[in-house]
Amino acid sequence: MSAEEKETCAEMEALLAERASGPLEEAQASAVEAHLAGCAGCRASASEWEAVFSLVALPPSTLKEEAAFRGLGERTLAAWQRRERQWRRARGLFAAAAVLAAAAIPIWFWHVPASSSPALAVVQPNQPEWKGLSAADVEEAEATEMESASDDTPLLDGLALEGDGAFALGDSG
Amino acid sequence: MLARHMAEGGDAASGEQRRPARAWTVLTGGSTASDETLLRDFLAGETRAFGELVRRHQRLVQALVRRYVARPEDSADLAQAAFLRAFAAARRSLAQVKGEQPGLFRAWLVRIAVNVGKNHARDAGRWRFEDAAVLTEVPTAGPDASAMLERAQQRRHLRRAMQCLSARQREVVTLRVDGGLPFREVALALRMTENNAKVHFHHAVRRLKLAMEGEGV
Repeated sequence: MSAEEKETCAEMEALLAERASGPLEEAQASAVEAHLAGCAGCRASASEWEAVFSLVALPPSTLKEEAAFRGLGERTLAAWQRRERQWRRARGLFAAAAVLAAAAIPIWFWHVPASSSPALAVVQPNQPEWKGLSAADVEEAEATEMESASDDTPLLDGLALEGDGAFALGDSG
Repeated sequence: MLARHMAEGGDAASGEQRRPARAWTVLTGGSTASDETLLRDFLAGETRAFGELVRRHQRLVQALVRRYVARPEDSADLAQAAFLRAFAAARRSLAQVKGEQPGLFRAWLVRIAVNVGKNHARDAGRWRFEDAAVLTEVPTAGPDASAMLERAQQRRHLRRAMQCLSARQREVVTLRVDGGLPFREVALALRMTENNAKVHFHHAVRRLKLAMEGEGV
C-alpha cells in the first residue's frame, strides 16, 4: 500500500465511524463507498465500527411500546386542549378575583372610621423627641442646619496638613 | 396522511378580498409545509396542523426518549410531555423569531425531548442502556444462546464505557445513534458548532472502541 493510500485510509477512519453511527453528507457518503469498494482494510474497519454502534443502539421497539405510541397525536392534542381550558379557567378566576379586590378596596375605606385609619392620622409638630427643648434651642438647631446646607466649600480647596506640610494643598507651598 | 395545499391571494375571478385560503386534504404523500408554517397555523387555531407536526416527529422523539425510560412503554408518556413543552415553548418564542428559520421547531423538540428524558431518568435514578424486560423480548431466532450471552456481556462493557463519557459526549452520541441526526442538527439541538459536535463524537467513540477492545471484543 502506498503512502498516499495509507493517508486516504487514515482519513477514512473518522468517516467510517460517522457512517456507522448515522447519515453522512451525500458527497462524503459517495466518497466513502467508492473507497470501500477497493479497500479491504477499510471494509474490515467499517465492520468493526458497525459492531460497536450496533451495541450502542437500543434494541428495536417492542410491540407493547408501539402500541403505547398509537394515537399519540390525538392524545397529545387532547392534553393540550385540556391544559388550555384549565389555563383559561385559571385566568378567568384571577380576573374575577382582581375585579372583586378592586371593588372591595373603596368599600373598605368607606366603612372604616376615619379616626382609626392610620392613613388619616395627623402628625403633630411636638413629638416626643422635641420634648425638653426650648423654642430657642429649636431655632438654633434650625439655623445651624441652614448654615451647613449653604456651605458649598469645595472639599479639597484650602486643605493643608499641620506639621511638615508634605501633603499641603492650596497656599501652603 | 394530511397534506396541506395553500392557495394564496384568494379568488381573483370573484374579486373577493379574503384571507389566503388554506385547504386540508387527506393524501398519502404527507404535508410539504415547513414545521414553522404548521406551527403558526396551529397557534392560529388549526388543530390539524398539530396532528401533522406530532406525526412528523413522533418517531424521532420516541427514539430519543426511550433511552431514558425503565419500561419501554413509558416512552409514550415522555414523548407526549416533550411535544406539549415544545408547543408551549414555541408559542412563547415564535413571535420573537424573525423570518423563516428552517429546522427551528425540530431543534427545540430534540432539545426538549432530551431534557424531558434526562429529568425523568434523574427522578427515576437511572439511565437506561438496556434492561431485562427488553432483553427477554429479543426474538429467540438468530444467534444461539452463547452468542447472545456474549453480546449481552459486550453491551454491559459498553454501558460502563458510556457512563464514563462526559454528559456532552453522551448527548452527541445518543442524538446521532438514537435519533439518526446529521451533525448539523445535533449541533443545532445542543447549541454548539458542527465541528464541536464532531470533536465530541470522535472523542467519545474512540473511548467506546478502546473500552470494547480492552474487554476483548
